[in-house]
Amino acid sequence: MMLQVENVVVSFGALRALDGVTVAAGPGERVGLVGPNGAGKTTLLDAMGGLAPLAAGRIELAGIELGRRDPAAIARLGVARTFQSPRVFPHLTVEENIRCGRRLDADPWLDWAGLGSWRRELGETLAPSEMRRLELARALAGGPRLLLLDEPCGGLGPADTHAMSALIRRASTPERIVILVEHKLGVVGRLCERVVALGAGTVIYDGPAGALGRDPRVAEAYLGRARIP
Amino acid sequence: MSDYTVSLVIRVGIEAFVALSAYLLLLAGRISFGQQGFFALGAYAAGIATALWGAPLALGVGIGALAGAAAGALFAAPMARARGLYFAAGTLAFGELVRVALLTFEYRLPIGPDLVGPAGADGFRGIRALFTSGVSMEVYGAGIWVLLAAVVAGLIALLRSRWGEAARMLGDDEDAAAALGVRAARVAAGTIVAAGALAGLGGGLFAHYATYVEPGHADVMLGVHSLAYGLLGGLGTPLGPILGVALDIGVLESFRFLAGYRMIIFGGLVAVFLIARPRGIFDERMVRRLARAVSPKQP
Amino acid sequence: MADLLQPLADGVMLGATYSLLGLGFTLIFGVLRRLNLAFGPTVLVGIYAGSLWHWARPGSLWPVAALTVAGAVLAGLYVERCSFSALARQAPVVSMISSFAVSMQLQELVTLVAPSRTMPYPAPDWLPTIELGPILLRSDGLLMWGGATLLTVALFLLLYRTRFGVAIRALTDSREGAALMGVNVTAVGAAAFLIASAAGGAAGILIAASQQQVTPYFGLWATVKGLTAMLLGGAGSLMGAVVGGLILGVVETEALSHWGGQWRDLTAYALLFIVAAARARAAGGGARG
Repeated sequence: MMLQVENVVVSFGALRALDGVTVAAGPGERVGLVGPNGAGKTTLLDAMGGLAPLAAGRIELAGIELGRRDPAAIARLGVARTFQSPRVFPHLTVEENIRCGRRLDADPWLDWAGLGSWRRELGETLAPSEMRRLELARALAGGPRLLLLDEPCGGLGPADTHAMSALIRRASTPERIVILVEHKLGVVGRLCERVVALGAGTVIYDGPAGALGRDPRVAEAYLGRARIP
Repeated sequence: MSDYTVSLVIRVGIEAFVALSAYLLLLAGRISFGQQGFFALGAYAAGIATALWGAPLALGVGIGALAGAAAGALFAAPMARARGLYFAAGTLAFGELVRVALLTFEYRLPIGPDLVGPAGADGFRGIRALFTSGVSMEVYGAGIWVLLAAVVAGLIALLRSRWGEAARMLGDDEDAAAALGVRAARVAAGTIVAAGALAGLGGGLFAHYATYVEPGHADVMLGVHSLAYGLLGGLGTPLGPILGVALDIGVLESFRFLAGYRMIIFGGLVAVFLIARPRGIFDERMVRRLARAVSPKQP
Repeated sequence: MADLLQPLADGVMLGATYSLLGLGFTLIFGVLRRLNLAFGPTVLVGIYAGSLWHWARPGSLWPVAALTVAGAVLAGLYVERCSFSALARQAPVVSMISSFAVSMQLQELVTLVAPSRTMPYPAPDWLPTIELGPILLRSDGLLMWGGATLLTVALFLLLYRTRFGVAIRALTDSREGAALMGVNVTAVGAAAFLIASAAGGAAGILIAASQQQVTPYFGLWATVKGLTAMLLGGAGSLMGAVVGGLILGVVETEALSHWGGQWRDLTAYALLFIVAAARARAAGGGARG
């Protein structure tokens, strides 16, 4: 059950946010997605989730095309995501935020995210780190085959980042594909064996996380010079 | 209870239904300036059922609710996918369409010595089923509030259900809801139909209380007020919009010296609330606080 | 032939005022991305201000016209402060609701201050009635069409030939882009609002003068016309609003001439409904955010 992204092009007017991206991932993988700001990481996640229209190319999950469907249909095919800024439903309770209208028991996920005592509190009253854990639990509660995480550690201090990393590690299953967009390269290095780097809308690196820092193209994209010292 | 108090209680009860119909749509993220259209259609349908077709009072009112639901389904067909300003514009158009259509609608049957029924701009007189049934105003008022209580209980249960969760997700963040598999068009359509039924129910109750309905009852002011009641009274509970109705009709109208300035005060209240307290008096936080105060042991 | 062309001519003349209303509406929507449902009532305030002057001191028309525009601009300023500036951080739909609430205040204000519900409004008596073959161009129609066309041209000159106009159009195109280019977004937004109110006031002068009276119903009526014209032309497009207004005017007048007054209104509202549904579908649901 593979995720196949082939030659995907996404344009916003004259701007080509994604300019022929090809990448594939298999079940059980945790793939890091990195790149400087504006490289197209969130746009790629949006394209996979149906929030950005494809100008060209294909996205397939287990042979089913994702490209031309609406977000709700894609979600029901087993794709879940978290957002760059946490999008918890402010006026739903934490419990409802996990269930999201689905037929599932929220309790185990409340415990998993450490939010048991917040069960009946409103989403808007949570602290940012709690919101992130809630978003992750919410995405996992549906048992997704493809999990898209958009900077889940954004804005978190070291302790919360460490806790979040542990949760993300536990989020993997042998059948699940996890794509992790993250700026904190240390987190990516610890959680992902394989990393894909985007630069100006194209893939500039796709290989082991350890070798990322030595790749000249990556250094060029991030720092404008050929080596990361 | 004085006659005036009874009529006040009845009017608050009837308008509460229309307020709840706008409230339901608001929760699902849709702003409607057109619930008065469903209200008027329900009133006319209920009046026709009892005054022209001889249906008993309760059945007639029920037909009013059904007419509202049917109109909701018709409205939802092209509008279920609309959001924000497009939806609002559509509801505005719908409300006025109903009003203008009713101005030309004539359907009269000989009942006894007279011709009874909707007569275009002259309206629809002689909806006397309440009076011929021998039910007193007090009993009617009590019945309206019992019905309202049942509807509120039903709404609370509905909003807690899976469907209600999905609707509230739409209201909070429609794009995030879609990313979680919520089929917005379906949920919106269901909400529109349910809201139509509520407003139509109010219309049916009104027609028999007033014995007379006319196209002018599909007044945009009714629609805007219904919307405002939820915004003022609070979006955290169905009791919020009912509070809004009670405050407006009960308080503002009862003070004679305020009479000429009612819209200025009411409009100003809404504007201020939207700046300072956009979810109303009984917003979700207040309701949560009250729930905690009542049962502190529950987490 | 005449009974096809006469309504067409009348429709174009009427449609020109709808275009002006639509332009005012679109200016605000294009720049702020928010719907101002108090637009009609702000124009209403202006018209009543002018008519009050005329009632107190009948004579010259210029003060009446000046007061109409001034009244509309002042009312527009009030709406802008209460419903748009104050709610800039909240979702656009909140401004829309607030503007409707504020419009209720304006409507009541007007009925409280005016000595009678229907107020007379003066019209210039030097306007001709022109005969163009079988078609009659009545003086009130000519007034509406001539005035509206002049003002529309003036507005477009402002938008396309001045730096301020460029700023407005930049804002209409992209808020972020305009801000990056150094445009003072809040100031230009507020100014666009006031220009829109002035344009509405001007439209109000023309419509009230051609009907020689005004009633409180004008408030919602003008809002619906402006909204329909804007949506017909594609929400946020200035040229589109002009075209939309003309289409609306023609459709209405044709309906009136063939089927009568009530069908004219029915057609106008049906058109708004249809175009709202169609635009919603095209936009994938609705203005996001």
